[in-house]
Amino acid sequence: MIGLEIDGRSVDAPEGSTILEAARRAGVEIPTLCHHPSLSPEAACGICLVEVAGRSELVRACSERASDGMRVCTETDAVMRARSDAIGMIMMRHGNDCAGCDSAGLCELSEVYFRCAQRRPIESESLGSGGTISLGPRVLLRPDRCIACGRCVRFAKEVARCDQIELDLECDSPRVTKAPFRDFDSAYSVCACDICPTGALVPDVGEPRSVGWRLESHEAICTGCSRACAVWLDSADGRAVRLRPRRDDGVNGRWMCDFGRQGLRRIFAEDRPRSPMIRDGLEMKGAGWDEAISAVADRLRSVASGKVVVVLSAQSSVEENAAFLWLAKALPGCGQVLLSGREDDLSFADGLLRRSDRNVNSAGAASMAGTGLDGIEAGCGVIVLGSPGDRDVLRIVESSPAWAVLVTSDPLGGQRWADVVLPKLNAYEQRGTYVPREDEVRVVEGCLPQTGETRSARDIALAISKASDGDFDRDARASIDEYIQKRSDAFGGDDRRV
Amino acid sequence: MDFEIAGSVNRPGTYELERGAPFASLLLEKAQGVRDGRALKAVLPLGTACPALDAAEALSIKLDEDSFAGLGSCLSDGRLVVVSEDDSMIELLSRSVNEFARSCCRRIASCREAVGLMRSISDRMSRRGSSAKDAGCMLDAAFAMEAFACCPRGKGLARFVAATVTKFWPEFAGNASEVKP
Repeated sequence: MIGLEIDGRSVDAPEGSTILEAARRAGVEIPTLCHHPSLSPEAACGICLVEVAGRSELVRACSERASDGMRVCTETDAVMRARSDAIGMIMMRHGNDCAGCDSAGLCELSEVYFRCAQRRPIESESLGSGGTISLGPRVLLRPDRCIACGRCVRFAKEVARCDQIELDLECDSPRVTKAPFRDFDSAYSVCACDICPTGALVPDVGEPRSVGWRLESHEAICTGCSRACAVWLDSADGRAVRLRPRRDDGVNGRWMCDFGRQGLRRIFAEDRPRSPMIRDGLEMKGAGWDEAISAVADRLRSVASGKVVVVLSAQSSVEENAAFLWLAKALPGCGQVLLSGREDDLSFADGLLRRSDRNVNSAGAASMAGTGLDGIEAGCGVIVLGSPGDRDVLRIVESSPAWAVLVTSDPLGGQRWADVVLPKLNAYEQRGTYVPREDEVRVVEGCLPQTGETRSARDIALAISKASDGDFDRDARASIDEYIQKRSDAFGGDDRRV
Repeated sequence: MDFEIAGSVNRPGTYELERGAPFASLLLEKAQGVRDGRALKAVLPLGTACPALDAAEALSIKLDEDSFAGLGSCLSDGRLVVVSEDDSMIELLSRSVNEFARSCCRRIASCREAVGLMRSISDRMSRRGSSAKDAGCMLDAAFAMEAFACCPRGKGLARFVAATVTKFWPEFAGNASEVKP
């Protein structure tokens, strides 16, 4: 450890840390623009200039190593004047179309300008809109907003490990550009939009546009694979707008993959089931809950004892699986409890964040139903939770079930193998515990209102149990809640709330 | 010590003089005065890499490091460029800024923008004539660049521009009666 003095405060910092890192440890905020804590220093913007005793010139806090006994002043007149000049210089070439900017309300450049600028830019050129350039399949560039800070280029090189974008410093208005003959199609390309300090890089993943101050951010996790990245779910008026990475150094750092972001569109797809459906010939027809539940009860009564299979899901939360496990125990006819999920996909894993196991609750669900669908008994009635992968659907269909009930929150995508479809809440509409691996437990609080007539898995399990059993036990309600609680407590419950 | 004198003089070349000899003797005796009998306007020690001297400063200075340092400039290896009253300081500044802009690494955002600004102002001045507003902007940009530039060449140019605009303010402001900022 070394000792230095920042703005009169004594600060201890690990050897090798920069002045900026030492200042942040001590709670002294030095504004920065091109610097990003997860990337190497670029020292390009000149916003983080500070005064060091004994040095005739101002030094850049982001790249200058702190040394023992150093005395640093972060807010002298010379520093403030230099910062003001630096931000003025950068603003000169920045198209000031703040009213129509995608980063309105979330713009770091604007924040730094408010904080540092003592006067208007020395001279500003009026720049017309530079149009939009596609950098890759999921990232658009607004060249007039780019300040060539190089964050995205460093991100691509150091984190996404690709050289698909570079800074074009030779042209009249320096900006980021595609490398020759390359497309910015990295699996993490949209993260470059997250770290862009202006609105120059805009994600093109089908998110609805919305201004920053209308967004509400909720802590959540991504359900795309068993990494279960920590994310912010941004919503506007109760509608999910986008996912963006939330910092969790033990899980995903500050990043998430583009596939995970695009998952939101699938989860909240327009064609997800919003009310129960009963199959009539080759058509799925809408029905009320009472009708659908009694249809399930009729089918349950139609099969012999021990001829019902309950299929749990590695993509549903511990609570949802516990509710259906409770149902399996409550149903007199249930013979098997099996487990479905997406198949492992080795091409999905990339050694950075994405894992080949695509199920967000693998370990949690496996602890309740050990075996997969290989051993499914032929000719049974099947109650399926979640959305089984294609191979699992094939196994169910090949076992020629007497009937099938699907309890899901995902779009059916044209599948018609289920006789009754019951819509359930999705991962962001209810509290859920997820255990992707043995020692990783995530708890997500429901943050969005329910969609249509969807119900929680617990309510559906309770309703099926009640309808199928003539002498329904009035204590069932307490019993299912107690059972779910016990199952989720087995994973440490609230110990890790992410 | 060898001194190299070039620019608007009758006999440019390299001459040996005592360290500490007056600049006037180098100019008038060795180089035989300013070309065509014109008046001296400025002397640029080390080209455009450190502040220029105006005629009064140049004619009274001695050729040693301390005297140059005393005026905020630098003697370095003894190369001096002479500017006569016929030469335009605006043109000179425009050329040096353009030359620097061509060789600039452009990596430092604020430095790059400062150079770009100085270039557009000096180009505008040489096209449309000078104005006090432009000269003020030029000074702002030069002071800002001195703080941001990481390389000695950038800092040197910033000091050169600041000193030139300040010392030859009437020429840059376009009107001798305007007050210097």
